[in-house]
Amino acid sequence: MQQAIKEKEFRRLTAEYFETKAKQVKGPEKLLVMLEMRKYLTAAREHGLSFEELKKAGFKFATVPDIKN
Amino acid sequence: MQPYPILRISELSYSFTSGIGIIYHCYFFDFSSVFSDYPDLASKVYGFNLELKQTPENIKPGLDKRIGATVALILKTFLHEKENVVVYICDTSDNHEKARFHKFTNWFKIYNEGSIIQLKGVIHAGKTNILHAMLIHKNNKLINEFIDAYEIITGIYTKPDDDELNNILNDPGW
Repeated sequence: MQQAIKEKEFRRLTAEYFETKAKQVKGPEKLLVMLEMRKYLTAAREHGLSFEELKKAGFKFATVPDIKN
Repeated sequence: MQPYPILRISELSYSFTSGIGIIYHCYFFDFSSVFSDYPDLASKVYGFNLELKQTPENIKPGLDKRIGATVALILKTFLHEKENVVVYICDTSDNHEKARFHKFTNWFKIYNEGSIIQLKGVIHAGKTNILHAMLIHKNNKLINEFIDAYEIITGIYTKPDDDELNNILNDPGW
């Protein structure tokens, strides 16, 4: 039940939402928008969104190299 | 200090497990919006996220230097291609975020053998203080361009407009 409430509260956003916000501000304010996006990505993954779902919402990620350690 | 074994769990992310069983995930996300005035640089800028994915019951994360060694290895590997840069940001609204930022930047003092340059600072945006750091490989061909752009974006430096620059360059002094 608690989980269901949590899911309901989570609002899905797109990359375009953040891009538009970033375009509307200058300099340091752009970092504020990216901070919001970073927090959104963390929250989205906590709510079970996969990278595929985030990519469908327009978010982009780097392909990471293999690490042999 | 030996890093923990790092698993590439998808083409986009890594995972590692600490000695007390805490699972971390990390990945790099597109940060180009901040560099939108610099089209040659924008596509090479990534934000970094380190997420605590799972904590065993009754376990509290404590000081663990191997986590720093592991994250430093991940970032150095990512920057090794000498093309991309990484920006790490957090606000100071919560003391844990602030602590995380200082831990993160301190890891680079400890585990950086000199190949990575770190620019860091704090900016005031709206009512928020944002701690920020840009990491770049010292042999990145665009290092000067990245540093110039980052200093302007974060307000460390104000770029003169063309007329002002022209006047400055034609000034007879020195």
